[in-house]
Amino acid sequence: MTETVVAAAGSGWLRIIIGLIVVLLFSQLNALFLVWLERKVAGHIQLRPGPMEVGPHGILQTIADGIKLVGKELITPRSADRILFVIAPVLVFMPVLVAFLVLPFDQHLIIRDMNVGLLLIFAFSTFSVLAILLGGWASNNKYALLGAIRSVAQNVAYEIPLLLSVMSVVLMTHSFRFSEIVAAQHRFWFIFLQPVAGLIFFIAATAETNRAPFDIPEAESELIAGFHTEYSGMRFGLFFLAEYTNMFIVSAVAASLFFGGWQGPFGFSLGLPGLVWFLIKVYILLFVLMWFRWTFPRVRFDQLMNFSWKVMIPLSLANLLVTAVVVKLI
Amino acid sequence: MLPKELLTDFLAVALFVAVGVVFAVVPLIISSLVARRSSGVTRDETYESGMETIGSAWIQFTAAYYIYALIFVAFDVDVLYLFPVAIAYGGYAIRDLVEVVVFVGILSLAIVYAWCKGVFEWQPKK
Amino acid sequence: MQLLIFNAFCVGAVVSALLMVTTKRPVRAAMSLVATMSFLAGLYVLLDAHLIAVLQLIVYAGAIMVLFLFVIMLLNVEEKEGKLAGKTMLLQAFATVVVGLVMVTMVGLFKANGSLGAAGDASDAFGTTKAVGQMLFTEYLLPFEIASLLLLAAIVGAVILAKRRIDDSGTE
Repeated sequence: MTETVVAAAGSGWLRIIIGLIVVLLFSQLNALFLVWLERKVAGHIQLRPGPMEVGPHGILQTIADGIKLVGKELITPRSADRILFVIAPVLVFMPVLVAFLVLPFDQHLIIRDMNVGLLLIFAFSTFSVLAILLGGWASNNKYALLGAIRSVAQNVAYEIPLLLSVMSVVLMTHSFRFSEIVAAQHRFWFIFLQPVAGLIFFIAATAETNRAPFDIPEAESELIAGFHTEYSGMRFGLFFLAEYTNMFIVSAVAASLFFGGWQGPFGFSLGLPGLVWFLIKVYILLFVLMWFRWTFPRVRFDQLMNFSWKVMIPLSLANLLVTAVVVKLI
Repeated sequence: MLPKELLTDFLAVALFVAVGVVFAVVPLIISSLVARRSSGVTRDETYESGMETIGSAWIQFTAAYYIYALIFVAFDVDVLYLFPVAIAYGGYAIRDLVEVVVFVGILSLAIVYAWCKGVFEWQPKK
Repeated sequence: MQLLIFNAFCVGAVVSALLMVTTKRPVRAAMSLVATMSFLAGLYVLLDAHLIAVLQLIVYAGAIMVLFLFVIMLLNVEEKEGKLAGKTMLLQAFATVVVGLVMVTMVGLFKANGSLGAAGDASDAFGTTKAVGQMLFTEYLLPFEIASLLLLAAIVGAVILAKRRIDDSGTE
């Protein structure tokens, strides 16, 4: 069925426009669902039911929360840098849609299969750390500033292992094009060929989305709310929305790079369409991300940095060299 | 002239960025229209756990990890060199392997050096 | 169409660059610089060099700007604004004009020389990641390795300078 829809959409601007509408709808629904799922997962891990009141099993809770957020007043602190304070939440949301342009939901379900696809996602993800740093600083609040500075520390720690682990995969595929990366895994998923890179990527990606145990820029038990302490109403909502959309993006990238994207394990599709395989993998990874949060205590940022420079980076460099040699031998 | 495909790619990215901005701004506008306004002296005070705000947060302070940040920038550029190399890898007999090994070797030297110098030992402030 | 977008991005880059030099707050200036870098990345794409465009975003808009902002915030140079003395202003204006003239002359010379190729003579593969990679493996093999040596030297320098300061402040 997807084939006919995609064929009807053609390949030009019609496809981009339709893609844009679908992406807007999907990213909203996805965020609503993920926030609900996160609260449910948290609840059940802690032996409580989580939200139950609005809708069956609280499924509509997030919608109620969203409406509440829109109704809240936007407060700008007196001593803040007004312009930058207002820009930061917009800046954090600006790049998230671009990633959906190149994510491969199915063999033909890619809006634009660009030859720099993978790099494009990394390029635009740099804006989110910039936005966090900016928002935290512009608030002129001590907690927010500490959160912002920790966010930079985190960026310094995870970015290089992230890029290096991706490089090991690129050495095998010779392409940044998502369709080619996924197609190269039709027999063996790269998680079996590149277990070390996969593990490093997932750890670094958890840090990139500021998720526990790497939620040090937010650290609600020590920094109130970290970088968004001063943000109220929808401005906070935008940070929140961007975080959950980014979680989807990194899980989708991980699924495409290491878990075979739209393909079933070892070439068996088991009759399921590619889109279903892809979404199953992404949501399993998202569940693992949530599971992390309620399992591991938060790391200190010096621990994260030393872990990165002493373990993750040397390991990923070694992995890269081994990959280079093995690729040559085959 | 740019090939048509690339131009479309470029415009598509620009469109998605623009829609991202619009999509972020619209709820903010709606919110500022419908939300009730409160008043009071402490309304737009900086939050400091309910205490009176002490001074500004914009003061000079040291971040003990700026040395990591310096190494990071140089290292980042190094790593990005590897991207085009990884794409073209495998098209030669042996020279690409040698080249990558030498490059990564020099890269690793930087870490070895910093490690030996005790950069990765976290020093508590005395 | 392409020319139109190109011009729009040029205007964007110049305007944000102007904002950068005219604003009095260092953090805002740094943000304007990020905008300039992003517009430049757009220009690179239009000039058929998408790898450079992406790297521009990752390295300049990402790593280097974060470091810039970070330093500005830590140093808190916020207070050091105000008017410059007339003489310094004059000197600055003079320097700007001279540098601009040198730039224009150089481009003019190159153009007259014919070494600045006309637009559109690049082959299809020009600027693609693969083409850059192949060049790094063949023609620019030595510069590539030397670049890594240079960066190693940069890291060593950074470690020596920063480490001494940290050690000094620790013992005082």
